[in-house]
Amino acid sequence: MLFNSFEFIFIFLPIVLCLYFWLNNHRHKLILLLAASYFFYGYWNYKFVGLLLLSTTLDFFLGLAIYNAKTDVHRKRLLILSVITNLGILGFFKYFNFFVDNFYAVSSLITNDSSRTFFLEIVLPVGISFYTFQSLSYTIDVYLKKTKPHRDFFAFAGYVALFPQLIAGPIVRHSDLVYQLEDPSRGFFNSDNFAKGLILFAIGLSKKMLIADRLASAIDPALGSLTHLSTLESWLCTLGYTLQLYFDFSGYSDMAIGLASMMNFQLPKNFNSPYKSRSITEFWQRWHISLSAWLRDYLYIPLGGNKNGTLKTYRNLFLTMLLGGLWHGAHWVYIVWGAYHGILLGIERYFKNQMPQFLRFIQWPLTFLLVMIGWVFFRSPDMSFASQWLNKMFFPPYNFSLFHFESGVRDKFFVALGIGFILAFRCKNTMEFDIRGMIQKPSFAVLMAILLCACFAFFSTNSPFLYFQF
Amino acid sequence: MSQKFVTVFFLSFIFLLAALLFFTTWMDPMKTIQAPWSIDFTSDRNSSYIKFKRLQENNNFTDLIVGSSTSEVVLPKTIQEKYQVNAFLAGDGGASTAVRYLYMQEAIRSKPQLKRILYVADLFEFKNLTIENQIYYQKDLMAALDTTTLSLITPPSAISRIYDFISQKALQNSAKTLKDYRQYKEGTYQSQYHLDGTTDKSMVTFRSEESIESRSLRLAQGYKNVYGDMNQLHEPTKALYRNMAQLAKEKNMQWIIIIPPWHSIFYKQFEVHFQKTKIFEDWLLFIKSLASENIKIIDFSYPISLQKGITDEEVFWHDGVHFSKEAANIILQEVYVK
Repeated sequence: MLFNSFEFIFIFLPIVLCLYFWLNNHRHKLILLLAASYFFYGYWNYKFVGLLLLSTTLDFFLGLAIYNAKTDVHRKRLLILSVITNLGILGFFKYFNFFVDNFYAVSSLITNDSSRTFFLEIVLPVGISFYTFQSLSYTIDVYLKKTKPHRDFFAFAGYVALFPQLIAGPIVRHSDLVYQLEDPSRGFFNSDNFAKGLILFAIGLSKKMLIADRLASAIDPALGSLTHLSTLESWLCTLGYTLQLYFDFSGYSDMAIGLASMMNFQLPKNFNSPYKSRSITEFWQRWHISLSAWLRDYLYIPLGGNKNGTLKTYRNLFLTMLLGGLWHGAHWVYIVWGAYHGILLGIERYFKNQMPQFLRFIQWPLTFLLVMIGWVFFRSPDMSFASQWLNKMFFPPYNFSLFHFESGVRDKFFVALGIGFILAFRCKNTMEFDIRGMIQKPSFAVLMAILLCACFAFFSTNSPFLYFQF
Repeated sequence: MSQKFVTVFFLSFIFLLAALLFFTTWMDPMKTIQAPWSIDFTSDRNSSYIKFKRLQENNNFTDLIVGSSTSEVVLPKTIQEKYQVNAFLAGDGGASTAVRYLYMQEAIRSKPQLKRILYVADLFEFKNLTIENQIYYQKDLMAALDTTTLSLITPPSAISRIYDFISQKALQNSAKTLKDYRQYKEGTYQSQYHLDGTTDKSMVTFRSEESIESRSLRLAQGYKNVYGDMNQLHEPTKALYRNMAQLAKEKNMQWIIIIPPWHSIFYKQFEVHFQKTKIFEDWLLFIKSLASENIKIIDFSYPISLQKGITDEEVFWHDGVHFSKEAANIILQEVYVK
């Protein structure tokens, strides 16, 4: 089920919220949340609800078993079981065909036989990368004795599956959410939190429907005829996609945080005006913050972080970004995108204290340009598409026609691009808003209602969030 | 204070939705609501309905042209000038197979002078047999559709009905209808649909500066998104075709099915994107299997189209699947001369 659908806004959400605040018993509230979250997930494809339940149950009991294990060897074996199972599920659904494809590609070079005899039609379960990471981080934390295991299955299962963040994050730590779920005082209607949730939800939905989708409606058809795009159009596609991705994903995160807030839960912030960054390091502190933090805590630091000398620090940075890229999808474009950022972070680290003076003045535009180039890989279906796109942007022949931006959507594209620019570069982001101040003014309530209604106008077009594919 | 915020939010929200609902139902642009408070005026918004009305009004034609947007360049005026035959164009952009059948059925039922039906077939209509809200919820149109056909059609989802009232499209259509209604009241309103079924607002009359190669590529991408999961010919659509064949036979009507040309770029993209030219071959076989004494198949499928003179030149194309009037003239020559 999509947040930007009538089913969700007019049926699912009102029913869940009414029941949630109507029920008196805290355990009943938890069960309701869990059932609603599973329904929310199963509405897309009920067959994968079992997979979610399996992953949750396994990690819940492995967490307990790790904690109760008598020896370190036993504890380690149980952790390995959790890691193998979680990554095995993720690997099978997300990466199996990618590795088989590449195996055939390499073997055909050796044997000259390009026939492919083995292929599985695998449907990628929505949100699998997100909930696998959440679930896995729990067993790792129990193993590292950072936390005690949770005893309440419903609270733990609620943490893995809570519908606002189930599909596309933010990636929540169990230490942040399970205790909130266990706290009975959060089960009562709180108008402050509810109002805050309404504001964030309306703003998030507007980012998605009024900006990201308007940009996409021009970019997607234009990229369909990439070979014929002019230089100007190629740049507009890159710029448009840069803003589209931000408003799409940060919009989703705002909605998720808003929905959780309506039920008195706090989710971590996920975006902090990333395009205002003056370096790639800063960009990763502002973009998809919950993933960056996860990769830092569960990959970069276990690899040694910056503690084992300069070379190993560069290696760890590169590997973390490479695997971060691979986390996004089983395609070479994501691997290249991850590697690209890994290299940029390495270069930046190397020049950290020796940056030429003139570069300091162009830090922001340079960072933005480098990030934009990275998105070309991210948006491309394959490497040849990406290289063709970059070729169009940077190499002759240069021409500046705009035939491929359809006249019906061109105006809306430029309006969305202009507004997107102002919001991304000049305005405060949602996390910086003075929500308390906004709640004091009824005029904001009217404005939010208008925004929400304006979004409904675009509901008829089916537009899933970009990060659903990960 | 936050309680006041929540209250004001919900009241404003409900008020805005109610206002929007009132406006869209008042204008009733598609004539599918027909509430007691709706205006009594038929605008051009529901193109299927207006074509149907024109078809009912026109008693002069002997040939009926049916199809989706590809058929919109098969012009009655050209047929009259070149072959002295009166025709009516019931082809309509995006028309489902169900609505094409509806036009055929109505023409056969109410026009005793009808001799021939020119049907521009379309592979992509074999993806499914759905029916648009603007037909399903339109009383007059549905009354003309028989129950056997209805049983083959997948009705629209209930949720899609909401979009008829609350969507940018609904709002835009309502605003345009209001503008038309004002002109109508002033006596200056002119429908864009003519008595012979042609329209001034057909997409295929628009000339783009973009190259045909680029347009074909872009269209192929769009088709891939919509039809990429099409694995086989949809059985109910085939059944409806057989019903149409039966109807033509019973009424001793000549039914000419035109297999339309595609631009070679679109065809090649189709091969790449769909990776299944088998479905194309299955479609050709199916259409050709309908041939009989009163059903004639005129094959302009790629690459036969090249041999028949519709090449890849810009002059013959609007985009990868929509051919131009010049291409239509070549097709009509085969219909009426050969």
